[in-house]
Parts: sequence; structure tokens; C-alpha cells
Amino acid sequence: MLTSLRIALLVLLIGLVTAAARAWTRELDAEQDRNYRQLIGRAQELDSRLREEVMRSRSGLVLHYDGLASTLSSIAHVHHDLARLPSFVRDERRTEMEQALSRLGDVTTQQRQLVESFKSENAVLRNSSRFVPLASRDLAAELAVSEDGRVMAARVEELMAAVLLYSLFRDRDLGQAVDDRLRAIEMADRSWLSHEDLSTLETLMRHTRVIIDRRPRVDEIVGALAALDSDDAIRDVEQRYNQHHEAALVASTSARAVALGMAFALLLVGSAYIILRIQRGAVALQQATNELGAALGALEVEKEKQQELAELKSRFVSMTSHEFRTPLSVILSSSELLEAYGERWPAEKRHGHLMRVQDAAKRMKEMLDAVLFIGRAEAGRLELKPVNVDIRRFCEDAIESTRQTTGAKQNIVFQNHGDLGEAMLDERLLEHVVGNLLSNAVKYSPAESTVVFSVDRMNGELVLEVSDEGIGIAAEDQEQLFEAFHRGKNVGNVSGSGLGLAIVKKSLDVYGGSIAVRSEPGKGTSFVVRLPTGGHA
Amino acid sequence: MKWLVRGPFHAWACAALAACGHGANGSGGEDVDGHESPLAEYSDSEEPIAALPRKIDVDPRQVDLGKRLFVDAILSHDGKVSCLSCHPFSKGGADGKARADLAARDTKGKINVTTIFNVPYNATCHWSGEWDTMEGQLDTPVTSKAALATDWPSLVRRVRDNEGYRRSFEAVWDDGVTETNIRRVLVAYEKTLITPDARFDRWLAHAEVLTDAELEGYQLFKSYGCVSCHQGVNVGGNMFEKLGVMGDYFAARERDTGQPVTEVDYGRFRVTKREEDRYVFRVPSLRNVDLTAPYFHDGSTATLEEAIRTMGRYQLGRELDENHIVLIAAFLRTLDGVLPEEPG
Repeated sequence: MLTSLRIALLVLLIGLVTAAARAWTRELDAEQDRNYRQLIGRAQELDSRLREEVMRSRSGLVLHYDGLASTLSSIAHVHHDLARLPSFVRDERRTEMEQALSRLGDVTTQQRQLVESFKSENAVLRNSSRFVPLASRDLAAELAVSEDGRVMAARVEELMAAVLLYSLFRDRDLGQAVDDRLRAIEMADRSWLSHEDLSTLETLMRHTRVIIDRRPRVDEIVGALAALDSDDAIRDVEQRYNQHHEAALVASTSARAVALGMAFALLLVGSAYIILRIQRGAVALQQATNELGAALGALEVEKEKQQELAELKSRFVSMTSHEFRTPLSVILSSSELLEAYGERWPAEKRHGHLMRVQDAAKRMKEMLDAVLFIGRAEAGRLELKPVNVDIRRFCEDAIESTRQTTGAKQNIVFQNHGDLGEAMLDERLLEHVVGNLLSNAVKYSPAESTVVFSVDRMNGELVLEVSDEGIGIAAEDQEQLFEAFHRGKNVGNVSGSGLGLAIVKKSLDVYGGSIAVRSEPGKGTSFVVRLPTGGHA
Repeated sequence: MKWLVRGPFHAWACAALAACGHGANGSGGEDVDGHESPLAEYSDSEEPIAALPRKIDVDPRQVDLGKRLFVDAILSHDGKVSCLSCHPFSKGGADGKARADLAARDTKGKINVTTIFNVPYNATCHWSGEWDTMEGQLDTPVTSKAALATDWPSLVRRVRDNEGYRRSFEAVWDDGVTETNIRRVLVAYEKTLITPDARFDRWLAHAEVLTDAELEGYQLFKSYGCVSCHQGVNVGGNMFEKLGVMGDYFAARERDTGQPVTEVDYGRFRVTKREEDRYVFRVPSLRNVDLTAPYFHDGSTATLEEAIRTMGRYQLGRELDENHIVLIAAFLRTLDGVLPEEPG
């Protein structure tokens, strides 16, 4: 879940960056837009200014062409700048704009050529238009002095009037009138004129021809300039620009919307991711806490075990050393007495001490055997060595052996129900079990009391029960009854190692048997042992 | 806008300079504001001629660099020729020769050198209006065999290899010595080569008294119609006209001097290839005309008076009185302005 969210986050992030970049490139630059619109406005203004300048020059209101030249130059610059389209006009739209601009460029080139022609033609026309009336007036005045010249003077004056009229109004007929007057002079006899006057007249006629020739040309140029659809071309550029600006605006808005959506989605997924992570974290924390708790518990248990083990060991050591000290001190004292007084003591007394030494040594040996046995059992080194055993005889031997080793004054009763027969048993282990139970019963029972040893075979098991009328075992001691060196609180000064029942338990564990205890302090104890005997019936 | 223009005709100056704001082929054209001049302020004068502005403001560092390059033969391929070689100030910013004529080289150009003065106030550059911008026109002297006889890459290399120039350019522009920047500094310097305060200009401003002869010459200049073409701030320079409107100038030239029509005589036709532009030339400025002899694109005319006569005959279609020619010449000499100091 987290991984897929992480991938989604990455994808969204890339998407957002792309969308943002797109939105950024599509972003409309307000300043560029404003500048471009200003340029278009300027182009329109210059276009109308140019028309105005031409008319003013044409009418003679302005006597120089600086204004025209500068307006043309400005137009060229505005168009140059218009060609640098704002960056938000996209490629696919650019071509359209460029077409419109190219058309405007063509129109401007024509415009420029027409204006140049206008200047050239108009300069010549103005020169002649100014010269002809003045020169004709002077010539007419001079010719009128002589009788012969009056007719010619009148013709020259008529020519002047016609030229003036033609200059004032542009009617075609007036041009025709000038032409007629010019023809009339040409047809007339001029041979009588003085060289100077003839030359002046000819100059006059040449300039008149210039007027007739150039006036329509200038009018044509001015007309062509007026007819030039430069304003239309500019409007076309403006319209296309507006369209493209609108398109760019839409593109920009949508690009921004996409970027915004991306950002929103990113935020959403990001939040989900963070929330999920927090949740995951909480669960993981809980888990870790639990595990830690469990580990702590285990550690506690382990610690307790260790503590118990340590206690057990120290108890074992102290017990062992304590249990060993008694027989050792007996051995030491008896052997010292024998050394000091042996020769003077009667043989009987000497014998007694020797016996004490032997007894003590024997007890130590037994204890060592028991300790070693338990050690071997705990190390799992006890092995079953079953042999065929006559159960009755084994039991009777055990009772006899107990009587001898303990010197029991109690009455040990053997009970059995029917034939016990033989069974495959490990005699040595069984001796440990029965011997210990019997000797314990004797040890903790008052003299003259009865110890009942009953043996039975039932359901493939050998059931042995040892009951006494002894001191009993307190309930709290029963739990740890089979632990090594554990002795009941009510044992008093009865000697014991606390190993007997431990040995019993270990032996039964090896056998796969079980032991149960039933006891009441002050009344007696009963141990029931069950041993599997295999297939014997 | 980097520079400001002062004077009564600043609007025109702005507009004309805007043309120079653009480099050749559009290079260096940077500011939209350049031509956003308030043309509405252009004042209609009663006179067809207007006074020259005193000064155009340009970046002094660029001017200084342009000035150094202007006199430096490092620009030419053989290190023998500088801009100044063909535009000595004492000859009115032209070379005083009929055709571009370099003593340093055994080379003759095809056409009379035009003046370097007051160029910003011309609408186009050169006799045939080959160039619309000052930056662009530099191509002609740079590549012409009769001038610097080089090419831009090697010219730029030579300037760049000069440590002094390199440091100075880098102080102005990060990219240091480039073709664009060389064009810029040369144009910046040329913009300072203005000849204001002519006696006529001062008369226009009511700050000078002209002699009766000069004033009569001015009236004749107007009444004969010279002023139809020679008008405006530069007394010309803002239009084209056919040489020989009222007579065949070239036939007369061949008859008188044996000089036949050659390609340079085609004038504006060479630029536009339009038949109506054959023999059409830019009307030259008459400012400092007294200094710029010989006259016309072919340098065929040695004196001002002769030039006036020729113009009257072929442009106005009239034979001018000798007396009138003297008076017109007297007027034209009032157009001599205060020349800039020649660098050296």
C-alpha cells in the first residue's frame, strides 16, 4: 500500500512539475501583451500619420519631407518590432501571425515606394507649378510691351490662368485646357521673338509639360497611397493577435488548472501517505511494545530460573558440605580417639569406634553415590538395563535391606494381591525407588508404628504403595518434594540429605513411571508409584 | 532609449536616430521606445529648412571607443587606412576627391565619398540609399576595396587581439569585442559628428544677421525651386530624385568630359532594380557644402557655383543668372556649421 502510494506520489510529482512547467511557459506575460498592443496601436497611428503627412505635403502646408521620412522610418521599426511576437503566441499560431505580418510588410514596402515616388514627383511638380505662373506673368508683361507681342502675351496669360486653375482644381478637363493652351502657343509663329524671350517661353512650355505630365502622376500616387489597405493589414494583424491572445489565455488557464489539479492530487495522496505511515507506525509501535513486553517477561522468567538455579547450586554446595561435614567429623574424632587411646581401650570399645568410622564413610559414599546419580540423571546419562525380576522376592529383599540399614524398629508389613510374577525391570533403579521410599517411611515414623508396603499389578502397570503413620508432609512442602536437597520443615533432627525423593523421581522419569503423594502432617504419608511393565500379564 | 536629443527638432532627430538604433540586418535593434517619439510635437516651420540640433546624447564610453577606432588603421586589412582617411574633417567629412582615392593604396573607388557629418539626419545612407541604418552602412566601407578592404571576422579579430581595445570593450559589454559592439561604438561616435550653429541656423533662431546677399540667395534658393528637394534639417538627405529631371545630365557629361555612363550612374536602380529608379540618387545634404567639393556622385564638378549651375540646368530646367548663382552660393556658405574637433 505504502509502496504504491509512494509510486503514485512520484508520478504525481513528475506530473506536477511538467504541468507547472507547461503552465509557466504558457503563462501570459502581461507586459509583453501590453507592449505588443501598444505596437499595434502605434502602427495604426503611424499609418494615419503618414497619410496625413502626404496630404499636407501635397497641399504645400508642409515644405519639407523630414516628417514623412521620419514617419516611414518609424513604421519600419514598428514593423520590425511587431515581427518579434510575444513568447506566448505558440508555434502553431505563429505561422498565421507571420502571414498577417508578411502581408503588412508587403503593404508597407508598397507604401514606402509610393511615398518615395511621391516625394520625387511632388518636388518636381511643385517646382514647375511655382515657376510657370510667375514666369508667364513676367513673360506676358514683357511681350505686351510690343504690338506684335500682345497676342502671344495673351496666350501666355491664358496658359497661366489654365495652369493656376489646374493647380487649384484637379478636374481632368482643366488639364485638357492647359494642354490646349500649350498647343496653341506651339502652333503660333514664334520666329519673331527675341532669343531671350524664346528661351524663356520654351522653358515655360517645358515646365508646363512637366505639370501636365506629373500632376496626374502625383494624384495617382496619392490615390494609390490612400487606397493602400495598410490600415486593413494592421487591423488583420490586430485581429489575429487578439484571437491568439485569447487562445493563449485559454491555454494558460487550462494549463494552470491542470497544474492546480496535479498539486491538489499530490496533496491528497501525500496526506494519505503520511496518515497511513503514521497509522503503520502506531501498529508497529504496539507490536514492538508487545514483543518487548514478552521479551521482558521471558527475561524475568529466565532471571527467576537463573536465580533458582543459583539458589539450588548454593543450596547443593552448602547441603553437600554440611552433610559431608558430619560423617567427616565422626571419622576424624573416632580416628583421633583410636590413635590416642586405641592401645589402652578394650577391644570392644575400639571396635565401636572403628564401626563409627566405617558407618560415616559408608554414609558419605552413599551420599556421593546419590549426588552422582542425580547428576547423571540430570545429564540424561541414566540407561535402562531391564532384567527379569521376581517381584515378590525383590520386594521382600528390599524390606529386609531397609531393616538392616536403618535398624528399623517399626513394623514393616508387606501386602500383595495375588501372584506378582516376574517383570522386565531395571533392578538397580527399582532398588533406588523402593529403598528410598521405605527408608524415608521408617526414618520419619515413630517406633512401633506400622509401615505398609503394598504391591499390585494392574493394567500393565506395577503399582507400589508405601504408607506410614509418620510426621507427614506439609502441603507447601509437597510442591517441592522431589527437588534435590529439599527437606520438609518438620524433619526436626532426623538426618537426611534431601536427595532420596529426588533420586526416586529421577529414576521414575527414566522409567516412564509416575509417583503421587498423599500426606497429612502428623498422621502419615502415602506414596503411590506406577511403573509400566510392558506386555507382561 | 539610451540617448536623448535636445533642440527644437528633437522629434525628428528621435525618429531619424531610431533608424540608427537598429543594426545591420536587424542586429542590435533593442528598444521599442526608440521610435516612440512624440511626432505630434514635430513643429511645422514657416521655413522649409530647420536648424540642426546641437547634440545627440550617447554613451561617452562608446563614443570614446568609436573615436579611437575611427582613426585607427587597425580596421583595414593592411593597417594603412582608417575611417578618417576618407573622411578628413577639414574637407567637410568627405575626402575632397572625385572618387574615393587612397594615397595609402593604389586604389580608386567608383563613387564620390559622402560626408560623415550629420549622418543621423539623413533618411538613408550613401548616394543610392543603399542602407537604411548607420550600423548597416558600415558594411560598405569595411568591405570596399577602396576603403578598409577587409571582412568583419578578421576586423573583429584584429581589434580583439589589441589588449587596449579588448579591455575597453569589456568594460562596456560583457561580451567585449564583437561585430555588433564595433558597429555600435562607430555609430555612437558618428552621432557626435554634428555641425550645429551654422550662421543660417542662428539666423533661423534670430541669433544672427545674414547679409543682404545671403538673404537674397536664400530667397532665390526658394523661388528657383532648389528647396523643393533641399529641405528639412539637413537641407536634403530625406528623399530621392532623378539626376536630370529637366535635361539629360549624363549625355551632357559624356559630351563635355567624355565620361560615359557606368553602373554607378544607375543610382537607386542598383538597389531596387526598378526601371523608374534609374539615374535616381539620394538628394545630398547641403550642410557644409562649401567644404565638400568636388560635387555630385561622380565628383564631376569642382566648384560650388558650377554645381549650382548644373543643378539649375538639369534639375530645374533653367539657366541661372551668374549673379544669382553667386548669391545662392553665398547663402549656401551660411550652412557651414561648427565642425567637430578632428581626432588624431
